[in-house]
Amino acid sequence: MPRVAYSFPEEVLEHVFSFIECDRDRGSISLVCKSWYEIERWCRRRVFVGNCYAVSPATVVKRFPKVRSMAIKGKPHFADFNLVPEGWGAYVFPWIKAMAVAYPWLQEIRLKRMVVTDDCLELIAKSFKNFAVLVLTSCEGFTTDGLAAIAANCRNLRELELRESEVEDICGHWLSHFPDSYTSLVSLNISCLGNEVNLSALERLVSRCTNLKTLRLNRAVPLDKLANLLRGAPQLVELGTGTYTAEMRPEVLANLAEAFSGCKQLKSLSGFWDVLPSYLPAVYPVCSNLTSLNLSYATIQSSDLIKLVSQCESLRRLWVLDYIEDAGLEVIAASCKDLRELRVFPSDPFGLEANVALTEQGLVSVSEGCTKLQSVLYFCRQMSNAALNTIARNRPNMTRFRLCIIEPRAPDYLTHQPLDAGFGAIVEHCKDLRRLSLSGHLTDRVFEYIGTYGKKLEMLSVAFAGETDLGLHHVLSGCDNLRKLEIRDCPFGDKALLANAAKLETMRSLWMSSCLVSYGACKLLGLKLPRLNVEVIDERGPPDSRPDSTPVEKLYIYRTVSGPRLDMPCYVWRMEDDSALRIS
Amino acid sequence: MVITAKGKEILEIAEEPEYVMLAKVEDLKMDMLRIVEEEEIKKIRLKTSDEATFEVEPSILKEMKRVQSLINTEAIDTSVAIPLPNITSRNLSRIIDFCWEHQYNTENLEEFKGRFLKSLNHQELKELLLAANYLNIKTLFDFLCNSFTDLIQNESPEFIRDFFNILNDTNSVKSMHAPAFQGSIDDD
Repeated sequence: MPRVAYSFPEEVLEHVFSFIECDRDRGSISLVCKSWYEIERWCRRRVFVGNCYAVSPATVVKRFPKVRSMAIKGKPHFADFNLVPEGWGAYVFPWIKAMAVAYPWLQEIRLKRMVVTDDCLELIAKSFKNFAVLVLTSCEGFTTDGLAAIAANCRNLRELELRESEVEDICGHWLSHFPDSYTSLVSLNISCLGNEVNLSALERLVSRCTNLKTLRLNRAVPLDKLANLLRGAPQLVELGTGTYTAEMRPEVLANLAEAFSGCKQLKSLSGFWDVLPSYLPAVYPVCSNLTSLNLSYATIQSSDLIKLVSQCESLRRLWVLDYIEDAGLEVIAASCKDLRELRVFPSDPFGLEANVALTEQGLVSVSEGCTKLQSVLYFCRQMSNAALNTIARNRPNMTRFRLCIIEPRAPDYLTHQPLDAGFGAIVEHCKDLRRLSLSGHLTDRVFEYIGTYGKKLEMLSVAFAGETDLGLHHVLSGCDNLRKLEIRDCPFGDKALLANAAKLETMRSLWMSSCLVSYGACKLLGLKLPRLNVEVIDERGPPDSRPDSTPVEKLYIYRTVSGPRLDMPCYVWRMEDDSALRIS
Repeated sequence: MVITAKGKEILEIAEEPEYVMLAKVEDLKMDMLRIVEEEEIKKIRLKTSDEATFEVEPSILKEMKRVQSLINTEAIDTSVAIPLPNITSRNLSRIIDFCWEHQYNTENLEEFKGRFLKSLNHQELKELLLAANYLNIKTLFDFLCNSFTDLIQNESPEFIRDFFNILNDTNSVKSMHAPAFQGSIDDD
């Protein structure tokens, strides 16, 4: 049958496009032809920028004139582990400035690992008339004064979330800047604030915002205030408690339990700082409904944790300290059949000896019992190839697997072999694996497995692993879908990097610190790859002052369409491309 | 057309237990009765591009905002069939089917939608999308837009170009920009 070309009227296409939310699909349709590019850019309401230096604010506002929602990421992921020096960059101000002019109707800003000053917050507060959502994750640089400006001016604000951000706490009264007539709050997360907030202002705010669904308090909110807050907001779906301890008094417990019982919609609990186990029965009435439970601040013993989690049969996500121990994970395996995500954090990461009975066995149990499990972050002190192999076979549906054996380069504790075969089994059996973090004693062999099987892998984190350039070469040449690669303390150097230089142009970024990449190789990469910013981070002073063969401290390479950035601190050097040479 | 739609439903219920069937047939009779009454009030005929004439009941017609506005604004002589030069009889019959189910099939609507979509090849999907737009039927149009979204999910520009028979006139500079806007803020 001959194919007929249908020309779709513009308004039809625009409507069709409005149903496409995924960034990648949006990207694909914009590349179909010129007219689609035009239609798409005019109807794109949400923009995500994966790296604030990969494209300039001017380019974004010019291409997408009608954006309502903007999400931007800044520093590399290893900033979470203090590997990115102070003052590195990722300032959001130029973005806010550009958007303030271009997008008066902007409603949502989500930022991650960026420097946000009070000036930024004030500009947001006065520029966007319908501003509704501000989510700052792992951001820094602002104070409660900036928050006060948001509170005072954004009359339609629905979400204010400060997730793991560093906020200078100047004054707890910023909450009272929300006007008395203000009632639109749906989500408030102040869990990262260090100081006390004005409790009466908080109580008034919570009780007058009848649509409030998410409330995450900070540690300074005392337990005896919680019952009152809950009574003012029985419609809550997500709650983060403040400090969860007080002198034990039966009437306080009964009061709290009654308040929790009134919250019939509760699906998520977090907080629990300084938790006193005797008060935990207060949450039992809501346990069976919970889909998300974050106990990563709850420093209590296994038996208390077990009593709690064994009642949470609908859990999809559980974050917990290693106090849960193998015994607790076995209970979870038996009772939480819907579990999708498990994170187990270390209670004493710097201790030399194990302080809890948590081994590889706990994870094996969960992988057996929880058939929907697909995302794991697991800190432990021992692992074996046999266990990894079992986990891989149990859960081929795993998409994110991050294992952190606390002692670097720890071998299989049973056979004293490298853990190559175990991680090999993970990448071989988990065909949809998108994110992987390695740890333990690993040779180049494991990277061969990863290059061979990790075809969907998008992000790989490596520390203290590998032997030679061959390891890195396997990954760069084999992982077709790799977008982000972060490496620290590995003996990888120039050869693998230069041989796979073209691969770097298909990735979002590469981070290498304390590896063997020479300054000379960095210069060469900068010269050869004008679409990449090749940045050397060296706090020992100008790399020019050392021989070209000297390894650089840190190397951050990222793809960009906006050229060099202009805000580099004195310890960052960008390797120049050869465009100047080409002109002459 | 009303009969066609009903006929199909009778076929389906024949596979169900007798008591369910009886109940449904009773419901059906009531429906028919009601429809006959309504039709007597306002019976509109539509003529497709291939010269087929359909009698369409008011409740279905209501979904077709374009026809509705024609009737409302231009005192149309309802004894003459309204021409729809952009719509084939095959597509109009599909559209009526869809609108019917959307109104009366409260229990198995999702199942119907699944079957409906399966019965369309890519070209028919595109034709129907245009037809739904032309007639301004929001439910069908939104449904097809959504289906289209599923269809192109994770597909390359080449696939979409091929699907729509579109000539590639873009330049490579634009494709360099695309990855800068992809990903999720929560992925690391």
